[in-house]
Amino acid sequence: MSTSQTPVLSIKDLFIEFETPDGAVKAVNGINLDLFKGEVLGIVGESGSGKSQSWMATLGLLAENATTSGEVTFDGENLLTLPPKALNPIRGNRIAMVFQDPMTSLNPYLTIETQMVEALRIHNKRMSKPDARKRCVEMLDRVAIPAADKRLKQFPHELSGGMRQRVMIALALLNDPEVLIADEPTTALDVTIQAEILDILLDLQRERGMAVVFITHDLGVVAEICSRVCVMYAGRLAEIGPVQDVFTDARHPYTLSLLKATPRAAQSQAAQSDDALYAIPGAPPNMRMPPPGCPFEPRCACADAHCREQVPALEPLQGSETRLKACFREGSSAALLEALVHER
Amino acid sequence: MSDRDTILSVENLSVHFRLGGGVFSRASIVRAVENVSFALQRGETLSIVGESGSGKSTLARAVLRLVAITKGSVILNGENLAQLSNNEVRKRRQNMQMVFQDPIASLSPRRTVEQIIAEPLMVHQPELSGEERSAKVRDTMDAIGLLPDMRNRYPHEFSGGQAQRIGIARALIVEPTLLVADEPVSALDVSIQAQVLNLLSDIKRQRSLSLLFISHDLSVVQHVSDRLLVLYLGHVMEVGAAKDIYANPQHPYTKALLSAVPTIDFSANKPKRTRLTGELPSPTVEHVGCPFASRCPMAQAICNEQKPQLNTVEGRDVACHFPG
Ligand SMILES: Nc1ncnc2c1ncn2[C@@H]1O[C@H](COP(=O)(O)OP(=O)(O)OP(=O)(O)O)[C@@H](O)[C@H]1O
Ligand SMILES: [Mg+2]
Repeated sequence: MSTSQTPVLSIKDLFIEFETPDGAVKAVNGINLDLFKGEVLGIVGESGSGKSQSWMATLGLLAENATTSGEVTFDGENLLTLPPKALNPIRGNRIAMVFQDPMTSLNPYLTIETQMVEALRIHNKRMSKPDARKRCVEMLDRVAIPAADKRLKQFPHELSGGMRQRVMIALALLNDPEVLIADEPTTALDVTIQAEILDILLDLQRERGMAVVFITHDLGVVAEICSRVCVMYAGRLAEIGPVQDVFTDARHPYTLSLLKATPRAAQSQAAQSDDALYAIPGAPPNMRMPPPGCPFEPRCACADAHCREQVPALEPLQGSETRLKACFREGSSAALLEALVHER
Repeated sequence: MSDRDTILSVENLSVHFRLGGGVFSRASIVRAVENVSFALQRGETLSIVGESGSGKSTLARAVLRLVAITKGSVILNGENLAQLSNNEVRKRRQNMQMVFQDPIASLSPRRTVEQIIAEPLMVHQPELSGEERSAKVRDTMDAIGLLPDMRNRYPHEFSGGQAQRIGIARALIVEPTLLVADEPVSALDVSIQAQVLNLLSDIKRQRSLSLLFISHDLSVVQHVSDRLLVLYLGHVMEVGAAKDIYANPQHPYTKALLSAVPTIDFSANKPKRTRLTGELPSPTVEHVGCPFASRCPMAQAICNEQKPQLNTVEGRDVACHFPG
């Protein structure tokens, strides 16, 4: 990604806290990130690392008990402070979202047709019903739903999980959004169905040049569909860069640990190594009391005293315009790996 | 391999469920498992894979006789479980233990870790004194990597990974010969999943335990399995050495399934995908032909007319008229 490109959406110093009876949960702790036109940006990290909340915030979808600070700039406006009246024409229209569970956005009591037509006409008041209906059929065809005419008459519960997820994607893309935020859209599906849906999603993305934010915990999915990846840990960004660079030459110990903890299905290699997986010791920090230094320090094979006291900033790798990491430790992926192996 | 080493042998096993059916409507029959046969040797891990609804869990539960067996036999250590009374089966459970998907939900919330881990001892070794029981719990916890000071705490105080260790300790305390693990790491994050997978492979090796492993994650399966059984709508499609099947699948369904797995592989010669379209047909249909025919890219007329039998192809068994 060249620095001259202007982002479609830009996140600056984003913090999110949730007030709870047991104290404040510091869910997102200072994120800076640009999303560029036409890219597929993968967001990976463990459960609770803040993947979902940081993007829910951009659409004003956080729970009541949340407070945010920072900026999310889209088309010259800060989405975090935009009143609902100004946010509504953007949400679901210029920025759309799909979730892991389609039932969170589908109304169980309305037919697919009613929901799709409504989604179209909210943002295009002048569109006639027959035109809207035609557009819905086209969109369902596009996501490979056979007999679209018939499907429109059905209710969400009459469809299988895979079908519902396709309807969700069709619904999200009806208004030709500039940005699609997809939060684990295929996690609950079988791999065969997932593969088909990812293909469709990628085709649509290329066709329309939209930017896609793909939130997942599956590194394989990221490797297959994303151009850039952003690794999150404890509400912070650990590492960002082009997917292949990051996955073949990780520079943050967390990224590398995650890669070494992931079993690989590799059909191309006749046999896989029988090596034990690298088990990252311990568990992610309690976000009510995040450690004072680097959040990964307590589990990190490469950490020293410095890491315990200070939080490393997200900074460009030397000599690279596309890669950033938040780690004091310099050195190649191989040197980090040495530390992991040594620890075991 | 000699028969002496066969721990479990499943022969022509079918499990059918009746669905609905009232005074005016006919009950339909779900054929969850249909004529499945396989054997498991001592110290071996056999994984069962397939899409959701393919019958993986039902097959595992039938092996433990947690669901009624409609037809066929399950021979554990030389004894056919299908012919035993419920009471007798209960006694045999000492030899076959299970680990579940949702670690925290599978542990009783009001019992301490010590009480939970000791549960199977109360059933299977009631003659033990309190002290002997405690000693066994301590040894097992130690072997599984649980700290002794966790003994008096409750499951909700633990993370998913630790709760799964407690579940594994509970299963292993009676020293079973067979461990059935149904999606044991699906609820866990990668970093924690690796801890549990390494633990399972260590104990398997140390205790020559036989493991029946169920997972929808084919990368995890490749990592843990000696042998692989591919299930589709309750039917075995392909069964054999995991290495062989992953390297060179023979059944069109296995090919499609494996090629759908997203991989971290940036090489230029990455294998081409076979895409499946459509979804699993209803399990209430009785198939005259191959159950996979409706989605199979290779299907010919005969596939809808005649059910393919398992045949040896390239050193493993494949149920297909046109393997390779
Ligand atoms: N309404 C809320 N009140 C309190 N804490 C919350 C609330 N919503 C989210 N959190 C916390 O915010 C943190 C970040 O959550 P988030 O959902 O973004 O994680 P995630 O990375 O998407 O995880 P997953 O992989 O499980 O989806 C977690 O610690 C979560 O428990
Ligand atoms: Mg999430």
